Amino acid sequence: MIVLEDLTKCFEEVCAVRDLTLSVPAGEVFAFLGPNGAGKTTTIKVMTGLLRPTRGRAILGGFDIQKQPFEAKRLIGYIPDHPYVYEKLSGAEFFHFIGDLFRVPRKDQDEKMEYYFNLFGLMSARDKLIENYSHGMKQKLIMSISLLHDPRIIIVDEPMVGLDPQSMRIVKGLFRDWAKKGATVFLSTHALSVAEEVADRIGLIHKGSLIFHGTLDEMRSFAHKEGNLEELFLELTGSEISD
Amino acid sequence: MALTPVKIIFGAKQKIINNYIQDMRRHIWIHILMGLGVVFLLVGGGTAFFYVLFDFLLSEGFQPFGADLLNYLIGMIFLAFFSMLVFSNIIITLSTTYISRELDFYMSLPIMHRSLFVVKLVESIIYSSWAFAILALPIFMAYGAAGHVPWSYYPLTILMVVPFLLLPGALGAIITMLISAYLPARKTRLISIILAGGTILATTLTVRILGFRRIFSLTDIKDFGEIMNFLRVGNDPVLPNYWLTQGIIHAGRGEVWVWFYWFCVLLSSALMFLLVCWWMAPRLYYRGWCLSKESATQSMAGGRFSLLNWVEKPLRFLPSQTRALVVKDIKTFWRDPAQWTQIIILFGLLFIYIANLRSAARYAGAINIFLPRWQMLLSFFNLGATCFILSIITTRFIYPMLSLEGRQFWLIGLAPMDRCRIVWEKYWLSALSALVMAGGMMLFSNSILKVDVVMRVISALTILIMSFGLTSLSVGLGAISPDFKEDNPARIANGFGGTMNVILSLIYTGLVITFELLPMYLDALGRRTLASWHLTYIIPYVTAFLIVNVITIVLPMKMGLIRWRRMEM
Repeated sequence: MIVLEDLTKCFEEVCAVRDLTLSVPAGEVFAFLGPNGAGKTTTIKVMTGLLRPTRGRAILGGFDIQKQPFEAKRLIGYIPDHPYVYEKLSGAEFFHFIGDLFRVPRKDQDEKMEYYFNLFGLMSARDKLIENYSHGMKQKLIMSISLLHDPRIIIVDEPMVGLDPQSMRIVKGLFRDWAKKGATVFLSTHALSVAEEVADRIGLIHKGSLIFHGTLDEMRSFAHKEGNLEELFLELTGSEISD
Repeated sequence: MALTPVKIIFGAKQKIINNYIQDMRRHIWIHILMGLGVVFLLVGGGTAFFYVLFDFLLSEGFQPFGADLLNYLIGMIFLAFFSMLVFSNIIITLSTTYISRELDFYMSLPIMHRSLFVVKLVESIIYSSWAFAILALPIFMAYGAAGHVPWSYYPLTILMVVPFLLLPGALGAIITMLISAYLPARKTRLISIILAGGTILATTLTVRILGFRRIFSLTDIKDFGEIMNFLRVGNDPVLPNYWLTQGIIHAGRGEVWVWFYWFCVLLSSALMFLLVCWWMAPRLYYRGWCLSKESATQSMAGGRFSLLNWVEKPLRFLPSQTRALVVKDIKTFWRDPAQWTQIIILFGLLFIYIANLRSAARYAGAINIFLPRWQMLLSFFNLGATCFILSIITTRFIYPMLSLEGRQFWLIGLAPMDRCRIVWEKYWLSALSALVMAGGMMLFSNSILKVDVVMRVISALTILIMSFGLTSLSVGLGAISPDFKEDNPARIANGFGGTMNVILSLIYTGLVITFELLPMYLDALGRRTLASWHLTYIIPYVTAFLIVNVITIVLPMKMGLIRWRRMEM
């Protein structure tokens, strides 16, 4: 479960996120949407402990990420938008590196590697240096390592960038499966069709403030408009489509 | 008139440099003062050292051989420089012209391959030559000061250096083009080893064929004829170092027309090699670049017998998180061609240093006549030189380590462990590596110099303490001011923090050596006898030595850990 209480993050004079209060229960896929620069990535970085909040707190699985970081981080699997990894390691070496950092026994690491590498079609490239991987392969590798310690909370920033249609389908299925198993999936994306397809609830952040959170139907009522998620998004964020 | 692609690319690079300067405008005066400080320390110190040596050779007591010996000696130094310049140009051209990531973008543009090659060749020559310029400046200045030359010597010498730098640049580019067109450029490590092995083999063969071994077997310097012959071989008229030396000698004598002749010899040769580059580039450059891209897709993480597969086993005693970090650091370092090429160049310089040390040791008995306590000074010089090399190594390889975590730092930040663990991991890995390297070098050089037991103990203790001190400085400062935007270790080391690190390291080295050398040298000169070595005499030196070391070992790491713990990513 994720609980954000009055979360605020300011950089010198600019506040990227303001008084964000939100709760995402276990077993739910939550889509976190917003235009570029709305504060999505900053929120995620504060949630994962990569940034300190200016005010408020982020509680993950009952642990405050600032006060009990080790306990909270053991529960998190984070998939960032840019797959920056150690390019001079092979896929298998990188997998073991992360497994050792999370203190996963080697036997379990090997089993997980076999499962995820087969699932994402990385097995034949496992001994190649990551510098030779394509963007999509790196993204799939990140997904594999993020799930290797069986996290209860999965935080994803733009998961579909660089993925082929087959992998996109696998990833969407994975999110649903993990939620069914009781995990919390926090998904930030610009791919509105993906959000519409997999999310139980949607949160909309604009200029650092959460302007809506609820189901798609609740969003329609809130916006006083029928239509798909794209139309509602544009309506609520004040954007327009020019044909 | 439309701009040529070369001008456009250089224009963009100039803007990048301007933006970089703008970016550090808050500390611009500190940067300028620090830069001047480094130049003053290196150039000033180097000039003083060479002036003493050159003045000694030109003194009355050393004539009629002194002046000729000096000219041959300078020729030999320039021969060493020329070899290193060719070698470093090959290595740097390989990385900038074939492996650099921006090439993917440039190659997609409608730019002639020749134009692109010219841009990259200029970059390579600049990267390869700036260190030579700093190292050679003290020699030129000391030569001028010791020889009481006319003012025209200085501008003429600067002019002479330009083609001397272009020539190995063009030669290196030709060799690189040929290698890359037929061997994959990603095999830099292999190519470096082949080149280094080839150089050592060629040197050994030359030494044997020309009978240098006989020269090295001399026990004193009575037979000047033999030494002159030895030095003369390195000053062959077909070699560029000879042309440079002749140009400098005649500039020093005010013989401008003779200088002009040697300048034209050097310039025309450089232009000829550049012309060959110009002719070869359209034929071979694109072919080599494509081959490097094709070979990249084959790159695997070592075979069944790769040494890296065995790195983990001896580290089983470490906690899993620390072990994972150590193994990752060793593997990523070993596989990075940028790090490898630097190591090869460094070991090339060490090879030259050790070879010179051997000669100095051979002539120790004779030199003692001219310079009292030469043996002891040489031992301390060796200790100082080892610590100086260690300072450069810690700045170049250890200081950038935390910055290099850069964009991957989120992985460490997310792991359920104290983030300072990575700082400690890098500290211990670096300190022990520095100790093994510097300790090994110290033992080897001490055995060449045949130093006494007391000096061996002193140097071993100094290396032990300074390995931890210099590592603490580099890791601590690296944690205080990491540069996460840069992924080139050389640029990180050359930045603000790296410059600060090298200055502090050199000051620390200077203080430690002074506190050790001063009491021993005064005693050796007889100003203090052994009987007067009572506590009151030694205590101030020992206290100062301890204070400097404790501060250097503890303070930077403490400050670095505090900063690292508070840092946001």
